Amino acid sequence: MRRLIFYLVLCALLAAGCGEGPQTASRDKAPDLARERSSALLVSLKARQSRVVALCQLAAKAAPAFPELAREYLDLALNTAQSLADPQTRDQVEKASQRALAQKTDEPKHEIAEIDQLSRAAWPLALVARSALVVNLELAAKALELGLERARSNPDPQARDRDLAEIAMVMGRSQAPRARRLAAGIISDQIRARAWRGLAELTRQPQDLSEAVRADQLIAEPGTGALSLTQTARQAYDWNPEQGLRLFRQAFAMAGKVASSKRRALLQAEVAEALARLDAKAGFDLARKVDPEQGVRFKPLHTVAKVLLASDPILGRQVMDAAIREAQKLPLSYERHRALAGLAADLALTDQPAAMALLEQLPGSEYLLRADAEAAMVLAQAAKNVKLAAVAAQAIGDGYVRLGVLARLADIAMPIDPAMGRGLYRQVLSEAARMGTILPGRALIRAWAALDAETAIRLAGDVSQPVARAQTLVILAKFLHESGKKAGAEWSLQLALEAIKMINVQETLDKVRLLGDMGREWSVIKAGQARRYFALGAEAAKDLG
Amino acid sequence: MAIVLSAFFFSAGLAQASDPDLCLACHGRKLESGRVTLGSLAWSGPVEEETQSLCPGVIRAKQELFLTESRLVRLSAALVEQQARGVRLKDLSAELHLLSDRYHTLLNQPVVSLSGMSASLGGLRSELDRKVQAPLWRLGRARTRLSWVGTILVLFLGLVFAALLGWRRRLSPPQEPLPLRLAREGRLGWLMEREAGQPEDEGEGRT
Repeated sequence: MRRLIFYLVLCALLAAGCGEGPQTASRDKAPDLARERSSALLVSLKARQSRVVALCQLAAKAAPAFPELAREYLDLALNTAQSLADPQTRDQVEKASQRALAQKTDEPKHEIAEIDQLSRAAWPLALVARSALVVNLELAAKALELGLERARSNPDPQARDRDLAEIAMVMGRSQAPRARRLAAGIISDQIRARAWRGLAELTRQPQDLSEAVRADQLIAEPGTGALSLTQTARQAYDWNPEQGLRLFRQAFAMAGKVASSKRRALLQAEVAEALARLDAKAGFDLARKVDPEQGVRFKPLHTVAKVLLASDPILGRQVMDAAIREAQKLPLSYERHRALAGLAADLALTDQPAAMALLEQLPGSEYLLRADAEAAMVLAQAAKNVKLAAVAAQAIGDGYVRLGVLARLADIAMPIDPAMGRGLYRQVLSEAARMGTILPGRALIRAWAALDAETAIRLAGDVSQPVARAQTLVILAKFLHESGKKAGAEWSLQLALEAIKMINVQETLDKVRLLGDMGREWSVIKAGQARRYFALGAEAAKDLG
Repeated sequence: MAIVLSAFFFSAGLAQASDPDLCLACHGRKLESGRVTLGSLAWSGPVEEETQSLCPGVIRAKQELFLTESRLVRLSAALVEQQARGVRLKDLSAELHLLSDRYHTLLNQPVVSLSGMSASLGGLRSELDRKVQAPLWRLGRARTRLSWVGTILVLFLGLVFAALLGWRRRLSPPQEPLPLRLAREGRLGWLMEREAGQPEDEGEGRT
């Protein structure tokens, strides 16, 4: 009897479970469909933007040898960019917005806002115009006008200003006065400053840069203002170092107005570091004024030391010691060790014992951080004794860096001791094959080609990731062609094409980039083959969206 | 510190919500050559300082690189620590080296979009979690479990041993009363004399 009751209860539960499924599904059906439509639209718009980028990049690579192909790709790119806001797409966006408004959660609304901005984006048109300036001025002008119209109709002020700035920076090449009027009309001070900087770079007119400074000074938030003014100062320094220095000091003072002491120190350190790249001593003066808080001064002091080690070794060494002290203050052990490893790499050329002492502070297990410093020390030694350097290179913990260093040592050894060079190349190849690693491209290609073209192609064909494999094979093909091994080059290209076909949809931009590279490289060798690569690239780009 | 950094990264991420995904949207002029690689944005100072940038792409790259590289370093240290304790981890070590190599190749790739960059570095991190960190944790848990099982086993064996001893003592035949035993050994007379208070030296002489 008990068993009967148990089975009855079980059947009832099962029946309830089966009955609930379709009901729930039908209840959720309407919102799910709406969501799916919005997601599909989002994916389609993103893919169309990527297609514009891919076609413009392909056109840029095709333009020198095949301008007619470039024009064709740019036409396609323009059509795609226009389709982002065609009436049908706008209608879909409107419907999606209405559906989102009916929903109570914020998530679909956020997605709709993104869709709306994707369809209103004018930068794809600016990109087409920029690419067309070289091959088709008419098309460039058309794209610019369309872009301007679209940007001006964008209700989002930030996105509108961003697009107007991009358009102004393209327009400045052919219509500077109009571009200036456009830049002056940008509302956001930060974006206006960027537009003026871009224009100044094109026109080389000091008044354009002065406009950028004026816009920087109007930025309400002192931290953002300081960073923007730093960029303007960097540009000004190239033209007029005195003016640049003055602007850097203004940026430093502006960063000093930030209320939070931590952020103030971080921003001032950034300004000092940017200056140190151009003028180490002036950067050092600013770096010394930064609040010494938890290693904040490390970055500017490191840059100053790097620059000074080459020009003023004594002062450079003193600043390096200060940078070491700052590095020790960094609170996170990863950052502390990263900083010490970087300093050791810089010291490797001038003071090996000091570099070793710094490296000893790092645990041996952190081979990834130690690798650059170890490589720098080995390569510094190679100038004196390649054989000793080759022995020392075996101790580099990071396999990828070790192989790269050994390949470079082989390059150095080849003219002095060819047997040793070949031995090192052989070691590199066997180790790479044993590790099954993705190979550090060019360095190993030299190793392969020096030994045996056939082995080289086979090993390159074994690289596991299709993008990396195709990239390696393309470089190898060019190298083999230059060495007169034409059959090997053809075979390598064939394998590269096979690898490109295996690249997945998410990496289509890489696919187009690689085919474009192949087309550009081969345009001077075999025009017909190059055209084929470009055509394949265009096909891949069309698959986007 | 980790919590503070997470909160900082999270808030920075929120600030980027409305920014365009493709770098070309804002840097069309500078990215024409396609030469900006992830490696050019590698760590060069405290991550908090480096994320004081006007470009959301740079901020995202710095954060992603920080998270990925620090995880690689932490895991390599953890593996070495385990190996020093005598645990054999050859497979995990090889896996970590392969993922480190992949990290190096990612650094050579050009930067195209925020989502692409996050996807490649995030993918690497999830592989690190799946192929190295999770097995390492499982191994750590298994070792802890093993030591607990060992402790319990030792305690159990101790208890069993003690119980066996007690049981054996109980099993041994009850000892006969002393007089009976002495009578069987032919020494009862000596006892009786001793109890009657005879001098000891005499007793000794008898034996």
